[in-house]
Amino acid sequence: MAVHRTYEEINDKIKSGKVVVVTAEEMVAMGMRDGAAAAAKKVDVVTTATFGPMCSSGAFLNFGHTEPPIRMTRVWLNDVPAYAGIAAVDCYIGATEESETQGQRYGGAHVLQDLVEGRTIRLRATSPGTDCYPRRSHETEVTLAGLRDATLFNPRNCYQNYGAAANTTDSVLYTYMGTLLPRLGNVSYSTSGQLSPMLKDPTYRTIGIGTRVYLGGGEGYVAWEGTQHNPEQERSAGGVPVGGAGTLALIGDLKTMKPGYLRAATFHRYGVTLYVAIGVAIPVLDEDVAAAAARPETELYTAILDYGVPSRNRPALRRVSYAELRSGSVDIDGTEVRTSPVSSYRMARRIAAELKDMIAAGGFSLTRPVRPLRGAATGTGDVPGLAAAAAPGGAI
Amino acid sequence: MARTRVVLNFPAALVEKPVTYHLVRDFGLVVNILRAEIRPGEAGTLLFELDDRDGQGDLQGGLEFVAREGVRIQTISGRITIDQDACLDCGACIGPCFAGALALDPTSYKLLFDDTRCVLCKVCVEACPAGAIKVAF
Ligand code: SF4
Ligand code: SF4
Repeated sequence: MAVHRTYEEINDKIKSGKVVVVTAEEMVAMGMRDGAAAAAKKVDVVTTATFGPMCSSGAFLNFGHTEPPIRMTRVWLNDVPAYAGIAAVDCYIGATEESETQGQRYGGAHVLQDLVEGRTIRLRATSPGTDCYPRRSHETEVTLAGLRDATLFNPRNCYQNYGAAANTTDSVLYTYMGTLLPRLGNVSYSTSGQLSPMLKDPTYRTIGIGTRVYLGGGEGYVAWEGTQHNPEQERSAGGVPVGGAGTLALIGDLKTMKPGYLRAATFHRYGVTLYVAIGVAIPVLDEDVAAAAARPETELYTAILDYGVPSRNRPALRRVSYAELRSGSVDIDGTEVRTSPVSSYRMARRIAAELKDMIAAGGFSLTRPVRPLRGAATGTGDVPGLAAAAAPGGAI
Repeated sequence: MARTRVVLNFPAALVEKPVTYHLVRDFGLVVNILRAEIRPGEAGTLLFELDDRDGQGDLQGGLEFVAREGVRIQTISGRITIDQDACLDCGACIGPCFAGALALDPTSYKLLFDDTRCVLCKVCVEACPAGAIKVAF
């Protein structure tokens, strides 16, 4: 009998402690052992996760009003400029913004990490002064607990898939995909593969606007499609994109987030970025959702792109499965090339396991999207915008 | 088999002395130069791997000889240090390590470091986005 579950049924099971929840890694193993249809019967929820560098991240902070009040027009946090072109004591601190005194060693991502880890941040603000906001400068120390509001808002996170990177030139390249040795010395890849949220719900059946997520160790939501969301990307079997495709804009209360789940990083000669912990629970509504969540890394593909070509359209050297990338080496034109990730699979696993435990303990219920993502499949077989799903192994 | 890696710091006057020659001929050691920073007329630094060929060579004697010549010796086991608290186990250091000294554990996905393969090229120090790898000289 075909499996059909509703969000309400699943949430009732979560409430009563009867829910069957597994991580995507466990789901893949179940699928291999018993088949996806059998797994669909058993499992109510599959947890997915990722912990990778996500430059398009930052937070809106509100400092509360001073006496006399100031309308901040320029703001620095530990010498990192924040965008202050919004209301009087609001600002947006972006992850990649660099310190005016320390350069790439300290940036917006470090400010966010320091806030979450309870450290004190030096706030500096200036203003031309107005009749209603006479004060012209303000300097003080702030902590996350003392902030009026702190809302993480990441315009683009959780890339559905991402090209792997290599370098065919004769010199080392320092990129946001890490250090790329010359003459195809190594291949670097991102995404958590079989644990990756958007690869496990490739046609956005369950992830949509309003989906509750486990963000930075706290509570967050999908706010919108992320910037550069591109559902039209070429897809292999099951509608799985073979390169960068969907993205998510995520929002959450920074005050609920935990140390270790937002980590600042500096890619040498590239700059500052933020590693963001994201966990997403996929409700197993039917067998199609289960089959997608159980899809193994041998069937998840990306392209190895040549970062030696300084173009927006970097040429693809070959298509590769995540199973090959994870094995430690891939063959490119007869040469074994070492592979390594830039996102932490160990952390992704931990996040997926924690989300699983929260759901099993009744502490995290699932939300039906308020609106599907652009390009989402409806679950009735048609896949708007995704109709031309190519067979695996086709042209990149 | 005794194998050890040492950093030799040469004072300026000794830079042109045939130290390796003596280590090979008089002490029967296999000498592998992993890195050399020697500017004639100035002080120099050599990173050596010395192998006593299963006890046939005299490792201790060789090192004593070098010390007698006025060269300062530092053994370098544990030269690369990885700060476990800072490390994200992301793997960004692994690809650039052409010596194959870094890898992810296939079950725990934690970073593994095999210092017997490390040639102290320091590429990983820059490649680590978390600043978790340090070299102590
Ligand atoms: S110093 Fe060089 S050889 Fe040693 S671990 Fe780092 S990259 Fe590998
Ligand atoms: S690059 Fe740095 S943080 Fe990443 S695994 Fe290597 S040592 Fe750890």
